[in-house]
Amino acid sequence: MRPMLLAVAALLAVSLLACLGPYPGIGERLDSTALVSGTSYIALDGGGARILVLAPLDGGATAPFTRIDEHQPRAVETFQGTWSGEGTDIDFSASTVFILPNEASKPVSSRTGATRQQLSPPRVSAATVAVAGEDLFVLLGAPDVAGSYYTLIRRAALISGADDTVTACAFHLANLAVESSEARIPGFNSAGMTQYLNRVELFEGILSGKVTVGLVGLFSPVSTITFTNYADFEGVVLDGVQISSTDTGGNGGLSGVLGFRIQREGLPPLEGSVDYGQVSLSNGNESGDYLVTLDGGTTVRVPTGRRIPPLEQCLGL
Amino acid sequence: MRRPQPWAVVAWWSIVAVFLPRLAAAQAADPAGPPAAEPPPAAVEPVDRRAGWRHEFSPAWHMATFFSEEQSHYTFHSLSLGYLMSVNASGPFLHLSFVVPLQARQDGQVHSVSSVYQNSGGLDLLVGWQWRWLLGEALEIESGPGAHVNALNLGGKPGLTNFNALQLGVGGMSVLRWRPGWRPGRVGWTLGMVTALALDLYDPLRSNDLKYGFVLRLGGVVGVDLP
Repeated sequence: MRPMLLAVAALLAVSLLACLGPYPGIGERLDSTALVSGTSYIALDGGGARILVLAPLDGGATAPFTRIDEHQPRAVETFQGTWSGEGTDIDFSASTVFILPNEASKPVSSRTGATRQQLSPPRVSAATVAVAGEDLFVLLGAPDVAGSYYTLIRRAALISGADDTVTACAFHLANLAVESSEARIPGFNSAGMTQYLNRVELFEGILSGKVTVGLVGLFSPVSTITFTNYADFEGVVLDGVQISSTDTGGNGGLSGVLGFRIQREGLPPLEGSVDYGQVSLSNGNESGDYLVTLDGGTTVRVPTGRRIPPLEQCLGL
Repeated sequence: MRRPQPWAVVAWWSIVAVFLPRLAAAQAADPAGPPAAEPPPAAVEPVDRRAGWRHEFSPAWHMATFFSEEQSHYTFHSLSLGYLMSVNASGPFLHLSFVVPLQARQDGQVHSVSSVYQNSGGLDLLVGWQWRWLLGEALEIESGPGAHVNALNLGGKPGLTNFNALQLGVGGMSVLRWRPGWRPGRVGWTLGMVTALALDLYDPLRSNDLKYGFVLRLGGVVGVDLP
């Protein structure tokens, strides 16, 4: 009986305070991510990162792909589908998109949060390989896929040392994986998080591992996001916990420590951690500093908001 | 002395029966007037059998079918257990039902609710104004329009999404009652059937993803009528 009362209380409270976005499907799975194992490439477009994970064709006509478009300051679109290639022509056929919109200007109660959409018919983007090098390939054609792509773990090898700039760069790269995970948690950054009330739900990493999400407390919600060997693309693996404790308006703070491991070609992994204890939340928006520590280094305060230094500088793009 | 004709006696008492109660009522309303004579027992105006309160329990079949702005068609078939209340020949009514969803459909796919959801339930509320009409000695029909709320909350099983809705609209209802003459403890009781239909057009919980929807409730009623 208690779960039923909680459900009714949640429904009444949410109906008074918030909207939850469009109706979900009946019996819809929370996690419908396709696992894609392949080489990860990164391109930068206006400061935002575009990560392309291509599974090898291995003689077949098509293979899975994932494209993670990150927009500054905090919005993500992740497309999944299949790609095919013949000669220099490549077609990307996206059948699923995960969207975390930038809703910083809206009150938490009015936000849609992260959603997933099935694209029917699939969205096809045609491109041509203009340059194909060992470290770089350039795609021309459809604007949503065009760009200069670099092999991510090769570029990550440029992040070495332990000074403040390197520490900030390591964090910015690791944070791409955090943002990517958020897009795949339906309702993230909105009142839709109430669907995780008193339950813990699991989401698979696109490449490996898992992340779990749980929420306790309806009027003083505490959400716990736990990463275990989590990776959406080559180059960054997450292990640790991020906790947010807020009121219903999204005011409060973060806590928890999240470890990260950055894989670098030809170098040992760069390991470190992010302590979220100095990050405040106001109307669901972050402010304050991330306390980032690389193994063997000192703790560096990395401010929330726009990336300093930019990823172009960090990855030498 | 001449004896009155039988037709004259009947006419006289008819006039008395019709006008005396009215005269008495008029005098009662005018305190300055002369005291009224006691009306004969046969002249008492019959009690309006439509007066008083009805409190009823109503098990029913509840169907909510609606279309979303994203072109999906959902239908929920549920068992509803309701409380029905209405007052007087013309007055307010309330239908409040607890809904237990049993089957959910979306775009032709049929799911048993228990296979994909847990802790499922809902509330259906129709509140408005009703009128009652008598059909003979023991039957009564009640009908009226009202405002409608249909709330559903279906908690997803592990790994599955929740489904919830809060749909608002307008509707109407009709109740056909049979009131037997048997009154144990001087409390009247009723048996009957209820039909309620609503058109819902707004869902504040779901960013108004609701295009339009209908709710139909068909069931039985059993209850008491109190003076």
